[in-house]
Amino acid sequence: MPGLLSVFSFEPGWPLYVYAKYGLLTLQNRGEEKKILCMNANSGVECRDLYEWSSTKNISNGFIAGVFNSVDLDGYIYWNDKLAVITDRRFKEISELADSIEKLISEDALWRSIEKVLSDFNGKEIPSFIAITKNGDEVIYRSPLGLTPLSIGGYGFDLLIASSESSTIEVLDADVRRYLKPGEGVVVSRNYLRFFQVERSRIWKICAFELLYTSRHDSLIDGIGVYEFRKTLGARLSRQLQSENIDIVLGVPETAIPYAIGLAQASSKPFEQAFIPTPVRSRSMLKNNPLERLIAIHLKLNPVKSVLEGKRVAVVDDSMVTGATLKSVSQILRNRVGVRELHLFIASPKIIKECPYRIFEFNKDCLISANLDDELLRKYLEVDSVNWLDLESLNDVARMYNCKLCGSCFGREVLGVDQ
Amino acid sequence: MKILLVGSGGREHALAKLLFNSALKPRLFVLADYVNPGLKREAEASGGKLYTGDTVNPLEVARIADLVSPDIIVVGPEEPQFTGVVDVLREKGYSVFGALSKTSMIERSKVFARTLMWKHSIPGRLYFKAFKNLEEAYEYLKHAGDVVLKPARQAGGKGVRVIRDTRAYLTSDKTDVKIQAASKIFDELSRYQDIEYKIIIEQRVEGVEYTAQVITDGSSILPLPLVQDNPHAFEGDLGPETGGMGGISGPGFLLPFITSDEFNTTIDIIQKVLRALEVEVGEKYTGVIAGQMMLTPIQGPTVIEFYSRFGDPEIGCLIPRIESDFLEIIERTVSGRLAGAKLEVKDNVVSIVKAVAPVGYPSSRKEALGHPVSINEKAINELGCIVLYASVEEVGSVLYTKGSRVFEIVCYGENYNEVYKRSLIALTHIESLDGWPLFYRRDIGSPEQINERIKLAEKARQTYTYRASRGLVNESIVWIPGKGVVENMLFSTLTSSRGGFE
Repeated sequence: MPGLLSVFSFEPGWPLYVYAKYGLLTLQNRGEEKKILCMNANSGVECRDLYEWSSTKNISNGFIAGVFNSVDLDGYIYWNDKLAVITDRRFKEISELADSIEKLISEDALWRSIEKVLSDFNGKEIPSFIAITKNGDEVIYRSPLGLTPLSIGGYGFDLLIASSESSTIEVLDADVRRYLKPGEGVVVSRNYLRFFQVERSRIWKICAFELLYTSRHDSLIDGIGVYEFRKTLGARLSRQLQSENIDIVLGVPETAIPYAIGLAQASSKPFEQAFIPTPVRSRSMLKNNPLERLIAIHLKLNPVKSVLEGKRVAVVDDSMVTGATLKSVSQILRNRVGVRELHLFIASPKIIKECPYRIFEFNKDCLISANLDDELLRKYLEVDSVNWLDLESLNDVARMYNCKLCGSCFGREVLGVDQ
Repeated sequence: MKILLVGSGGREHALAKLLFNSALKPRLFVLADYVNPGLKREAEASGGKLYTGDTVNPLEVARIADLVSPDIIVVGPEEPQFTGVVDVLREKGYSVFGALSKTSMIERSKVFARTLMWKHSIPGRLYFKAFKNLEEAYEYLKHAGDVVLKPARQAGGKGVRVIRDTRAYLTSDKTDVKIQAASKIFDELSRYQDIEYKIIIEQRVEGVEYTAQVITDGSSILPLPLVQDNPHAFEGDLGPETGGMGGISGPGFLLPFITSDEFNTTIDIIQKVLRALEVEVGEKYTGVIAGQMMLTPIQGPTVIEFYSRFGDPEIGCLIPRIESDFLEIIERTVSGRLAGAKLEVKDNVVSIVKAVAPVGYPSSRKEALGHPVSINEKAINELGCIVLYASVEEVGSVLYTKGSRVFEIVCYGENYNEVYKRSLIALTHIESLDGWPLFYRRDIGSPEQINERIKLAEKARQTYTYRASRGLVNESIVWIPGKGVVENMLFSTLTSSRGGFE
């Protein structure tokens, strides 16, 4: 789930490094292990670690950049002095894609016939990507499969900004202009800007995890408010709550708060902010090292004992992958605080399959619900109940918002359709 | 009746069509800078003729006028007004529709226009500051905040930089951008000797833009229906500022996102400006004035700038919508009999105009120049749309681009959705003959765009009506701990330059 960011300026003199710095900061929910910035230096296009650019004199009229949760960027980035391409899913044919674009540049046909080249890649499930050429021209393209979002923003008469998160555009003091449709792209040079549409796949869908977990609460995906969507799922989840068994509702961790608010409001139970974080450098949270991960979780979860002690607690989370966070939460609530009952509410169905698009690179043996049955899961987590949002409910909510979700990891290829 | 039309572009072609379509059966003569095939054809069809010559040279225009001996002269663009073409023609006794050099100051000098509004306390005015030299502008820009930088003189609808500056973490870097922008504006304006101030820095506002055009004989006014123009070169309101890539008009005198109260307030502002202008320059205004307006959260209808001529492409949008005899209105204007004139508008007709430009416009006009193009006008007419020839020249039998917008296509009908679809088909009948691409904005007039504008206007309306009800129009109260309440602190650095007129 990398995050993509590009800026193109129609006027010279913009402080591009600052835009890259703050822009990538808005994308840290999508990865912090690597931040890469590609732009033109003296000898042509170069891709470097963000911080390595800080002292470089700006000679470029734009950049492309990405954040990644992995240090291995194979299939995410390809660059030479003429061109750089960054994708948001690993793409084996990235060098072929770059070669095709490079050929267009050499024929001076980038903005005339980019869609012809891209339609050749359609069958290969081409991911969303951004590209920059030696001339500073840019291509921004959303995968015909949809899956991940891309928003386009404008600033005055000067800038075009594209980002995986619509909120990036707002944080950079610009206006969101449109959400690229699947298979839609924009090619931009100093004198020309053209939106184009490559035939989209027969079925396009948004990765359910974009709406469930990946995106910021303040973003819109294809015009759908992420915060609202999450609250609606929380409210849906309240149907599984027997309210006489619950005293308070918590959202853990921070990403789960809209769900908890939705569930609390729908069930007329009080929502409490019962964990207070100690600020940490958020990088460590995304570390793959289990100990560092645990350190981050523990620092984030200091309980407000007085609201929790002796209570029957509903803990809401957006999803359960390895169960590590919820295991920690349970240990804190059981051992350090002492709650009377502990019920888990998970605002998504069980993840039982690997992601066929490798948006999430988990192997099946790391997915807790693919490996433990309900009884064993309850015992492992030491909870009174685990309540999952069922597939039908997610299907209904997706339909309500008029969007099609990819639910491959839940065992259902498309959600948001009439069954 | 003989008419002489001065000017070469799409605006003049629109005017030619409006004038030609009169019961007075005029013979139309045109003085243009180049052979605009559209103007040439309209002139010849009416039994008139197209002359080419320097339209900003008063003596040359007067020479052609003497040759034609017209009953009425219509001066289309702003530059001939600035150079005194209208003054010379009037001195010679011609009836001229168009602003005098002095009255066209309302467009030529943005400092003059803003100062006029402050001096006469006309609503819809913005805070501003103007500079004659670069060093003072630099010094000021270090602390300017959220502003728009403009060339202080009309410079072909170009050079405006909107530097929104509302995020503290980006502000120091934006100061450098502002200083570079100011320097560029000074460079570009150095070629004009008719202006003292070079740059004007204004309070930035946001909202929905629209154009209000008002015809006046100096005593009475006759408002035309509102038009919305789209200044950005590219779809989605992206890219550099242009003279306008297209617009919409209707139904009635309004737009889908402007109320009749807002329309009336706008016309009231323009009327006040006309009165103030007469007081300041001592001349009556005969012609048209256009207010480039914005509906802002700060004060509702707000003046961005004025034009002393018809907007282009705005006037094209009105061709299929005006029911009245347009020449009769022009005739009444130049003879001072506008009182009692009424403009009949086809209420059930809305229109969309889209401009087509060669790639290179507006930033690299040299690249956009000299490309052969073709247009299937018959096919476009069969779709019920009108073709306006703009920055295009006929050499032999081939049309060549002149660097700006080549054609404007006006489509009209009962509802926007249908007209929009038809306009997209019409645009497929324009072709580049040398492979050099032409572009236009697909989004203008689309249901999505109109809905977006409605939402934006509603947002502005909610805030400006609240502010108006609390007496906060263009006011901002700031309380500084330990110091107390400071009114209009936000704008204290942006005060009006009341130092008189140039």
